[in-house]
Amino acid sequence: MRRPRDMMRLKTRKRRARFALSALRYGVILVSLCVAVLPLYWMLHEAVQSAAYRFVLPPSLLPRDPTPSGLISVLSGDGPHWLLNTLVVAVGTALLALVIGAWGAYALSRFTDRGVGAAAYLVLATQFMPPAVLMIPMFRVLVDFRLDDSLPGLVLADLVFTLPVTTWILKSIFDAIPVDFEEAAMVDGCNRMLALWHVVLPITLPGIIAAGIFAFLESWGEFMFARTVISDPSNWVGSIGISSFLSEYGPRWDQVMATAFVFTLPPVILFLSVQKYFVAALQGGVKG
Amino acid sequence: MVSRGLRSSDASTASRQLRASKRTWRRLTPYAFLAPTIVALGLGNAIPVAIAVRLSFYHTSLAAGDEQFVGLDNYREILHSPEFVNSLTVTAKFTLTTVIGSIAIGLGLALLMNGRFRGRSVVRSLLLIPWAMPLVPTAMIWRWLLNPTFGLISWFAQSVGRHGSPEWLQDPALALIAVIVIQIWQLYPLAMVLYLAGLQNIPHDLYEAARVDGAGPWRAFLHITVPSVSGITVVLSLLISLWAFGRTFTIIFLLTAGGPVDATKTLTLLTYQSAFQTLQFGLASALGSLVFLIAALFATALLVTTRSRRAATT
Repeated sequence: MRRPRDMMRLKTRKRRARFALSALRYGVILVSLCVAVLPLYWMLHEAVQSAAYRFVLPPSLLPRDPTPSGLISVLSGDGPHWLLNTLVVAVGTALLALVIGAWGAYALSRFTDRGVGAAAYLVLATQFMPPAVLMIPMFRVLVDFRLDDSLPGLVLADLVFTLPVTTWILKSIFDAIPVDFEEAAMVDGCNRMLALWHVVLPITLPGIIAAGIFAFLESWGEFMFARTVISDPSNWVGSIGISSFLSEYGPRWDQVMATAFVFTLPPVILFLSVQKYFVAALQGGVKG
Repeated sequence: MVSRGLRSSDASTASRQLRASKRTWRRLTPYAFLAPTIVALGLGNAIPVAIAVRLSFYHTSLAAGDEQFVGLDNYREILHSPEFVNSLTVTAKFTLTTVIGSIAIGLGLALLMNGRFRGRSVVRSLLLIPWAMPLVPTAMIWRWLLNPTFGLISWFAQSVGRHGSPEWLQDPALALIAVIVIQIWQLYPLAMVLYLAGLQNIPHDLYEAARVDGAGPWRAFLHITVPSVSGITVVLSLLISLWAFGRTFTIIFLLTAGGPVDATKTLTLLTYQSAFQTLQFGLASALGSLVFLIAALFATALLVTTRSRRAATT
């Protein structure tokens, strides 16, 4: 048996170890937090800091002489036009991806036929070919339909690239819903289509919104296709606009940072405001 | 009697036909649901893939319609070129470290976020931000942060180390590491969210039982946590490796454009450049087809082994 003093010593040692452990834990959390948000913060920092300090060392953690003039010049220049184009493309892609993806995802989730399994594999197989190679034939098709250099053309191109993953997310969301719900509805005389519309879709609405946000984010930031499909400046989206500041003589950082911030803020705010649904939807998918 | 018998057999064939047509209808239902997806991906993906594969057997020149069948020449040229070997090595390094890095960091942060502490939900939301940031702005801010003279990270490195700041994106030894770190920075949130979900599904009794049996936290992690989330690990390795292997483009293109001295020229970059800068569509298509082939083999092998292992355990 241990003497009481030893016990006391053991206890304080344990307490110390626990304290060290929790200090370490908070330290790691703090560092990860800084690494995660630093780029976004620094974008804002550089966008509002007075241009005179851009090349002054050492950098200050808070922007010196903050001025909104950079942001104002973006918003009074081409910014709103690019924002609107980006918004049209992202919303169009997300809606189409949801409308098409929901049907397919429902089939992938509810039927176990051999053909359905093959279809699931083919949806995954779309991720094998590098997009750069597909751009040439896709661009030719868009030219044939006179959709090159137009926002609808870009929507179709983005759709092809977001649909597979959107379908997979939707499938995992449907997987989490027990089949009993629809079967009850189908016994009551609903057919599958009505059951999907009246029973499954309302329950999974948060997850569907999350899948839509995914497609929205992907097409909001898409660059390679926008660069290939779009050339007329009146059709430029944000990602082309920002990269256009990369001139031969090096980037014009003031405009780059202000525009980059203006284009980063909407998707980040949108994502943060729905992330609860997003996380819940993905978590539902993991349970299966 | 006879007529009645006939009629009843008539009725039974009719009902049999009805039942049969119902059955075929039922068999076709899934494909009716899948039709829009199949049409969209068939037109948008399968046909372009087929065109690209066909083109990979042709020599193309700038003049429109000038295509010449060359058999496997494009492939032969690629497999013998040191550029391809370099790109394959770069891509392998890039893919492997990106997958391992985002999975490890995602799991680590998920374990931290699974514990209770003040402000957990806020911290969790903020940790997801890198995922929501669009590619081009992300590439731009990292380029500025890594600017060798005025970048914040360079300044930090300079004040910590004794030597001047390294030229992150101009140094062949560092550029690939820099690009990988940025890629992991953007992908760990996905891993974290999925792992967090997986962790919350592990029954607490398991850990309780392990503690009673005298297992420390490390052994509990190895024998309970890791096996419980193995399904998520498979999904994540599959998705992230497919993306890193054949689809990562924008970040590298805007940060290093494949340089310095091809140190970050992944297969995607090489394919893009041979298609849009040297305009060799046939060669680019052959490169793409090789990437397609490798990705297909890898994904299928991963799926088959995990499926057979799952079948063995259940």
